[in-house]
Amino acid sequence: MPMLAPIRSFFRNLVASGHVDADLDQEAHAHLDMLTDENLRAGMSAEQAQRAAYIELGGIEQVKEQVREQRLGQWLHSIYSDARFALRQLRKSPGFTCVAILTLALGIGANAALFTVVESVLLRPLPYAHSERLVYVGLKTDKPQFSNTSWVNYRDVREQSHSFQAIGAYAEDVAVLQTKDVTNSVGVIRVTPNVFPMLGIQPLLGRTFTEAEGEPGGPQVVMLSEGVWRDVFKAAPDIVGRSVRIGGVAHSVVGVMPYRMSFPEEAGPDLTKGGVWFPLQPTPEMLKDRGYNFIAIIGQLRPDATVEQAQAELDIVAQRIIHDNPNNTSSNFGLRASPYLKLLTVQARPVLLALLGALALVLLIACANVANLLIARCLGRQQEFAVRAALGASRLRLIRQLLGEGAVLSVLGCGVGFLLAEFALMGIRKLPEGTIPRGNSIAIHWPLLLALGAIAAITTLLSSLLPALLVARSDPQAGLQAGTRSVGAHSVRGHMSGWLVAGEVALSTVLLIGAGLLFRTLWNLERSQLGFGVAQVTTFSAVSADSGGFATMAVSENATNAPASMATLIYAPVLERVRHTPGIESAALSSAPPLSNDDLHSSFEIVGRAKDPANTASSRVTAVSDEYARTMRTPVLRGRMIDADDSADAPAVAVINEVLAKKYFPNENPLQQQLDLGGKDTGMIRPFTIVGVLANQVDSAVGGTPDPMIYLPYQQVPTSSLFYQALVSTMVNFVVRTRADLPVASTMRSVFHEAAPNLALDSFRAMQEVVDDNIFNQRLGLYLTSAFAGLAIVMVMAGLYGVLAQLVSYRRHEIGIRMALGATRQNVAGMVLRQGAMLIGVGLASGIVLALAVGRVLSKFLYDVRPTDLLTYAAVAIGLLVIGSLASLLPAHRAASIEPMQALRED
Amino acid sequence: MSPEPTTLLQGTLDLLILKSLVAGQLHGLGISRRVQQITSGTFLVKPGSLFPALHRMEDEGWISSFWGDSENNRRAKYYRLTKTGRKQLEVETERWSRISWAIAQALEAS
Repeated sequence: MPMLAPIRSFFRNLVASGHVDADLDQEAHAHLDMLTDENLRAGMSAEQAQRAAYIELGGIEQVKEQVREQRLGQWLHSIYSDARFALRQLRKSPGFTCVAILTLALGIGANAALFTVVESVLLRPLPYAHSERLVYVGLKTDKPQFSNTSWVNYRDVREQSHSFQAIGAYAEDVAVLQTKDVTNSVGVIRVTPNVFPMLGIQPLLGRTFTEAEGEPGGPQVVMLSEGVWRDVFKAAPDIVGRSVRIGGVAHSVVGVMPYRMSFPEEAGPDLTKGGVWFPLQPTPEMLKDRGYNFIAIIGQLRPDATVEQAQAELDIVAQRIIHDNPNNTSSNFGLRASPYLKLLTVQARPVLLALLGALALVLLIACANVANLLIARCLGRQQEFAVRAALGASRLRLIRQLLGEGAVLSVLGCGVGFLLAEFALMGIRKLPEGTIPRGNSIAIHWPLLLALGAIAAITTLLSSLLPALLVARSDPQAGLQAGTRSVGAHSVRGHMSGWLVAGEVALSTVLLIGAGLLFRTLWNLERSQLGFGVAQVTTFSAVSADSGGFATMAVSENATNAPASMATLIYAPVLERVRHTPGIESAALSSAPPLSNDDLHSSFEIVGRAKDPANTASSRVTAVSDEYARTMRTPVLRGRMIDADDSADAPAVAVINEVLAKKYFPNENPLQQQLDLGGKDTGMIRPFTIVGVLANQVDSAVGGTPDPMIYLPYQQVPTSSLFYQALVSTMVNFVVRTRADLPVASTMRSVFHEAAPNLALDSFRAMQEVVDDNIFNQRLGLYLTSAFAGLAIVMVMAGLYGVLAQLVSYRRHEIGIRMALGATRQNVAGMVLRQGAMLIGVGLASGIVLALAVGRVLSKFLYDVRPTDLLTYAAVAIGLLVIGSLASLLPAHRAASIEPMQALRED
Repeated sequence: MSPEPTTLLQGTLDLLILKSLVAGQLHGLGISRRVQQITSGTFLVKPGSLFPALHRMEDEGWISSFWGDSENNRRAKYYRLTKTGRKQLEVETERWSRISWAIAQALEAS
């Protein structure tokens, strides 16, 4: 098999060079032995014979080296000459070359950009020691998510599990940092002292926390982020040891953390800019209450332990906790171990992978298009190939020539694509913070080079192998004899191009259906029930400078002499001032307005109803002021909303949302029923009487199902209860509805500066912006998928047009004969149109089948539209048929205007 | 004439090797001796040029190789012509005739 010999030798050289060397070594030795034999026969002594043989051979290693050099040289030379020849060929047709390179570059660039995102976000390890062994332990919810547990549970896990080399806890909190010049709210992370050593992070200045600092009642110390140190303290070199007022208490600075330290990552990018770390000092509340779920657990697995082992241990620990605490633990309580990085990217992973899949389709379409362009070129160059074959070029040589052209196109495509990817990444970096987890770590790393290499190899093969094989299969004799065309070969090629175009249509169908479904989703989301009006509403947060944060939550024993509430002392008066500010229509306070991500869940009991230990009733709880429903434009469905008369001394009342009413009072009137929010355990001694039902407000996601909700009058949350710190005294949100365009932030800051100087205001956002951000991912997905689909359509049009135009030009002669025999111009045009319609039809049909198959993948991104939505499918089918007809019109017109006499005389 | 393979014209070595294999398969030393014999001792092909040439020609698919036993029972690597190799021999022969004819013409002209 002469054709296989070079291929074999190529593999021998590349793959099995060790084997080749051994073979060569053996051959040289055999040669030497035979020379010696010869000399012996000539009558030399054994010694002389060997010596003479060595002299003639010139040294075994030298011979081997010469062979090796020759082999490598030839290999390099052939690559070089192939590449040079390909470049020369491509330079001859700059139009074709530009189109092909641009087509590939678009496909490759988009893929490279998204690959970079995937690599940086999903694959690149976190910048911590042994980050692949970091495991988050949280409550077992229906799907993996960050879900805090309690200190007591943490203690049990720490003491009863053996899979972890180190295990620590942390809690997110907020506080106000006060200096002479600034009053800023800062993100606070409380960590057990072993967390920093576990992560292997060295402080920029000073030291991390000592074990003693993590004891209950330990010293008040703090570590600052580099951002706070630079912005607030102007990078003071003597910061360590200084006293800083945070949460109304003086803390001694023990260290500064570098920018790259952003643990916990789920707290978002704000932490590096303006965060501080406290040692987590368990309070008496934490030590006794198993339901105090503010603690996140992070562990580092032992090198030989697996997540599964840890999970098995946690299951045992959880069973033991249920067994030992039957009264205050639900029987479906459980703990889950999740790899930290995986949990961090659990939302983004399916989105990114789906987009990568869509982009792979785009790249395939691009390859198909370039393959078609190359096939078209081959048709034009048939004679050239025939001549080269007749002059002795082997088939392999011709295949290599075409592969060479494909490779040059791919490499250039990769180069241009890399630049396009850079542009795309610049765009990605401009996305709002938090759109993509770890967004600030997105950068091009070396794996992209590997990926580009792989992409170049794949595009080379996909785009030029088919034309190369077609050329190799064709018979040079026919090519030479038939002049400009060989009838037999070109029909094969025509089919091949046709199939490629049909394939492109199929892949575009999938992309278009995806884009269509996402469009319907976004459309539905934007028109979905929010439960509130967004126009003219602004929200902002207020953190009390003297609040010790959520971690200071405690039940005060002395409920009768509890101090007056901040709600009455501070919030109510400032709300009054706000409402009288010109331009403000109404204003209210809420501990957690819709989509704020501030959240407090609590179990509750309905007074007079038997307790079901397996299924405790639970609900979100929010403290609101009067006018909340009016400001948000949320309708009251039954009874009344919380109003100004619901003061601290008035009877305790509550308003529930529709979901809670339906879930817990399915067949009865909820009004006048009483809710018990924990009694002595939580300090909510008085039961709350339901006086109204409020329409549902979207809570965590637009289009999502809201959770049950209990609204409490903000002045009626007892200051001696656990809920006081969580809902009232630490951080609250204000919502204001303005009459006209008003600089809300500056107006509010000046009002608060006078009426409540101890509140640090932050996060001013228009409600519209909050809603838009919440559906940003769907919007981004739609934009990207539409862009991909648009790209695909352009390529399909070009491909279809190209194939039909080619077909017409190669069938000129035949069409001439048909017309001479009486075919009308309509017949001829119809023939071409039918051909186009057939390609589209076949592609469309297989595309629809493909889309039905992959539709399930998409279903989790969709809202209120089925993956098999008939309207979308119909629209895509009609759209593609129209596009296909447009692309066929010009070739059909050209075919119809062939002059039969002229066409017949041509050859 | 001094037997200096490096002074061989490009392609001449290939031609001689191909020619030496027409009669049948040979191992490296056999080829070397055969070339010596058919050129009446004018060309001595040294292993340093022979082996690179053999490997190159194998890569081109003109010759193929296999391991066999030599006349005095030593393992040796044998080479033989392939179909492409025979074609190549024709091409090279034709080319060489042209060149030698042209050189002869040039030398005869005065």
